[in-house]
Amino acid sequence: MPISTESRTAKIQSIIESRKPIAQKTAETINKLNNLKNLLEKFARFLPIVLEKEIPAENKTKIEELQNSLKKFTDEHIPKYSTEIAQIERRFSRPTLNIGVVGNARQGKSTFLQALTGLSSNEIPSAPDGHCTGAPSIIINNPETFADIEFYGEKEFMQEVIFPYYTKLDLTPQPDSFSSFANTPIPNPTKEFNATKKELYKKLIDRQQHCQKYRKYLNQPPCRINKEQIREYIAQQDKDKKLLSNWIAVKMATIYCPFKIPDAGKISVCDTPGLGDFVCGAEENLIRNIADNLDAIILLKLVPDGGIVKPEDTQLYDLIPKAIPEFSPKDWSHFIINRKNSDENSSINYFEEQLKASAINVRRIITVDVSCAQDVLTSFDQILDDIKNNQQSLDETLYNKRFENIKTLVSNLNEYVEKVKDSLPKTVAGVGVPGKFDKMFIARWSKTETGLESINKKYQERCNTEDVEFVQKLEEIENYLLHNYDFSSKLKESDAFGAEICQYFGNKFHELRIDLATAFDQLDKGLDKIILKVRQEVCDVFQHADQGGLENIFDVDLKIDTRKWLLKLADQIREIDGGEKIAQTIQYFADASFSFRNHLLYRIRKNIDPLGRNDDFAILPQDTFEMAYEKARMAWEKAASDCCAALQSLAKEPNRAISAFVEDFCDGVLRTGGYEEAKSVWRNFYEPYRADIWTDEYAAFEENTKLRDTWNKYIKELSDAVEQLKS
Amino acid sequence: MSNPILKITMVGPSRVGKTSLLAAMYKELERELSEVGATFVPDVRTQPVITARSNELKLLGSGTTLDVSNIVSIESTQEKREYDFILSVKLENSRTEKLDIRFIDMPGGWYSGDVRVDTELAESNVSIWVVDATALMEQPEEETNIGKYHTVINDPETIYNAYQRAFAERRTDHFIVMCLVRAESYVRKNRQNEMYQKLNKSYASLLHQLKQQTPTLGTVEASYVETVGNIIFHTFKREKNEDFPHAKFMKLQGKTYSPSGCAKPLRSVIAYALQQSLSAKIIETDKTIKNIDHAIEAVRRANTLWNNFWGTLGFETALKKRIKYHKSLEFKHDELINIGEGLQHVLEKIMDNKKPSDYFTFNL
Repeated sequence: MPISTESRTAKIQSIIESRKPIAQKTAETINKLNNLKNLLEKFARFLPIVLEKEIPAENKTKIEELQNSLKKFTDEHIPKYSTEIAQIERRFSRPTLNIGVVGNARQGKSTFLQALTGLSSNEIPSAPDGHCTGAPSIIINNPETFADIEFYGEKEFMQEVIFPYYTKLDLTPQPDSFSSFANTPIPNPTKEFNATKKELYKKLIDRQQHCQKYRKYLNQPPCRINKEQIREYIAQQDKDKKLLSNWIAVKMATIYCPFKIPDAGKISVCDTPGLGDFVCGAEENLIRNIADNLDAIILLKLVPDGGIVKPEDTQLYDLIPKAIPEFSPKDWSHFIINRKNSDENSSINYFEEQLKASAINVRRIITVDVSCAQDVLTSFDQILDDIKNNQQSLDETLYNKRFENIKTLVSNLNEYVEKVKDSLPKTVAGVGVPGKFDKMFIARWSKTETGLESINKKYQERCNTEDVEFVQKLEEIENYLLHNYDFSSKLKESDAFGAEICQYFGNKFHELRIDLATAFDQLDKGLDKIILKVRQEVCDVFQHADQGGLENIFDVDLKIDTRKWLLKLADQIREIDGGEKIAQTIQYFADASFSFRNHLLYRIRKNIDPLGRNDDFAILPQDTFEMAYEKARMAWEKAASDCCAALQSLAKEPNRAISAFVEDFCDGVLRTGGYEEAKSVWRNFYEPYRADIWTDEYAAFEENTKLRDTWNKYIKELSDAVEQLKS
Repeated sequence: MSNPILKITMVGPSRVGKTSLLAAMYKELERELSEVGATFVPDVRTQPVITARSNELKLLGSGTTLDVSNIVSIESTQEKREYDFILSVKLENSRTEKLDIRFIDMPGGWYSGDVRVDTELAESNVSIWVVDATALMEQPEEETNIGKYHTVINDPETIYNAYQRAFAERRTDHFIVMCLVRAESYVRKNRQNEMYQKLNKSYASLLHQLKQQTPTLGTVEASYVETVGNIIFHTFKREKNEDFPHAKFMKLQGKTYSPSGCAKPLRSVIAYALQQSLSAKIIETDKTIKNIDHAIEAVRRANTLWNNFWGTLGFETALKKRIKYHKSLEFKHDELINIGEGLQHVLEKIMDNKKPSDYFTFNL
């Protein structure tokens, strides 16, 4: 098929763009799964509370079954499906098209990559002999060359690099930490090793012997290195064939460089070293790498001796479906036969035929001389074209197949929700002793009334007394204004230099008026305390177990904030027939305030305003700075003193205001519409909460309205969350 | 025959301004008397003290700085002082008629129970009860509308108790003149009536009780004075060594030292002295006529210049009452002040300046 004339950048961009809608959908699905998991966990915490109540045995069993099922959802199914969806979400969100080059060691992968990327052996080694690339790498097309190196953490390193050796070689005991691995001799084999295992054993010892060299990198944050340092971190040996160890600690190297191929666009290629080398865990790493990072796979191999397909080839091929089970390798793999100059065409052709006849089923087989840049470029373009034509349907297939699991989950959850609906005992009418509630309510309400009236009486008695804290705060302010206010820093001769004396002081008087008024804002600290105190006293009566008993009917946090608690109470009372006016009273009380600015400032304004406007202290044009300063100071003292005196005379106002608030509150709450009418409203308010207030008398769950409401709320929320997941 | 002597006690707590008032009264009255051909002269002991205090007041009202707190520190009286003055007029026949006026000034602290106060009050004809107007007027309390520092600064109860003790056995007349000092702040704002209302509210009940105990107590008349004229109230300030704040004052810009109305209390005193003298004459005449009404008529015809008094509502009735009382107590002639006619004439001219609207009379 001829290669499309569309530019490489355009092709790649088109593939990336086409994935965005699916990426969006998968991201939304992940959010929905997370929400669902959170909701299920909340429900899981709620179920024990329900089980504490007295409920029939049959319902108890059902709820216990719900608990068990719930655990499977939250601990198994949802995490599993979330991981699967997250994997494809990362795939579809990738900003680059990633093509992986896979093959055993020494097949020409690095040379192929050099041809594509422009990197040389200085960065990714490709010498004809010796060791080559050690660390897996992704090479991304970028104008500048540098690399980001991600290191293993110690635990991760042990898990992915060291433990596979112990498992493969049956060595015990496994070290429980890197330090232990570093400092404890490798256990001796329990049985005779074959040659392969011997090599693996040697490799393990090698890892231990060199651990001090690469240990320092474990747990380190990712670092950025320049071009010259790349080989040092990804290669097994340097240019002089001296063995390197850093690569052992490298989890992934992301290399940025301007690709050799023109118009490469947002492409990246991945190198997957280690196969065919004595590296335990290399296959697992490859599978993980393919699943997490690759959009297409190039299997690369030199023409083998005899031109036949070897077991290592099929073994490698078989790893691919393990990465993404939804794909068959032929959906997304290509095979490049790496021909050398010395290879005869007949051998190459023979090998190609063998491949086609074998179980290795790929999209296309291309023969390439990887040392020839043009060859590499041509093969790359062919593969890219194929990806472009194929990728969208591949992505949709993957999405749909993964989403099948979600559908199954939805179906299971719907069944679960139905079970939840069916698990509660039905409400039984007429439960309880007739009249029991009324008697209990009357007794409690009587205590509440007494408590409120007692508060009312206390504040009426204080009505015409000065508030002590107010007076104290006022004295502090007066002391500050008359003795500690820094007058001299406010009026400086140096500032007035050159200015007309009247204008300078005129402006300063404005500032002085503001300073004077704001000084009294400190009174609000005391005034706030008074309001808070009385509000707390009222809430205490409503909440106390021996009085109102409403302590636990709202959220715990509300209880701490008395204003919010009262507003919540008002909202609830409002729902009761006839409760609107009582609700309003409570709301007014909750919002009651007494502040200096709102209630007192206007009454002393006449003492502030003369500051700078009183003829007795008028600054005259002929005044010297000293004379004007003295006048300003005396005007300030006069205004401050008069304000304090005026406020002193108002020292009873706070208590008067509070007593008015309290009296109005008690009247409204206890006597709106008449005493009996008000009591009736409160009775109707209390009834739904009876089980929360008289917990001993109303232990039976079916009478616990609040708990039932919560249960129904969970059903609705779960149904909604599952419904959302379906869409 | 010795000159009639008028004893006036200056009454009031510490630092209320008794001595300053005395100095101011003297200055103004001396000027007024000189305009009508009389003299009002302090004796040699009195002169330097009065002059010094006058100068202090003048200094207070001088200069350009507003803040007067550091200009002069007027010391409180620390011991009893007697200030003697001779009011005299030279008659056409070269005879001189005189009236001795003695002001007794005692430390304010003595009013809390010192027996010397009781004695002086008991023996004096008149007392001038000095009240600090700023304490009465400034920062009124909500319930009473009286200045919150009035009780601690003017100490009405303590003064009242002193009067009560002094008058426990009193049988002779006594005239109380109340004088509001430091009234500049309120006069400039036309708050004179307010001052009198508050004065009445604070003192009427005490005076009423005193009157009930001491029927010889005459009407109580009040007036206000401005001893400096250009000083007004600034703030209350408590110094470190003080139990309560005291008023601080400031100068009015562009105004000069201009005391005003300082003679008013003494006019009240003079009016009283003239009435006393009139009573004495009537009683003396009655000894001959043996009919009080005829005696009153005879004196009235002989003293046509006394029309001021005759015209005053209720004067004749009050006079009769006083005379009857004096007669019942068998007053001796010389226990009442008997002012010579020439001096009476001069004092009557001073009385022409007495405007009733400037005074407040307690209704006891």
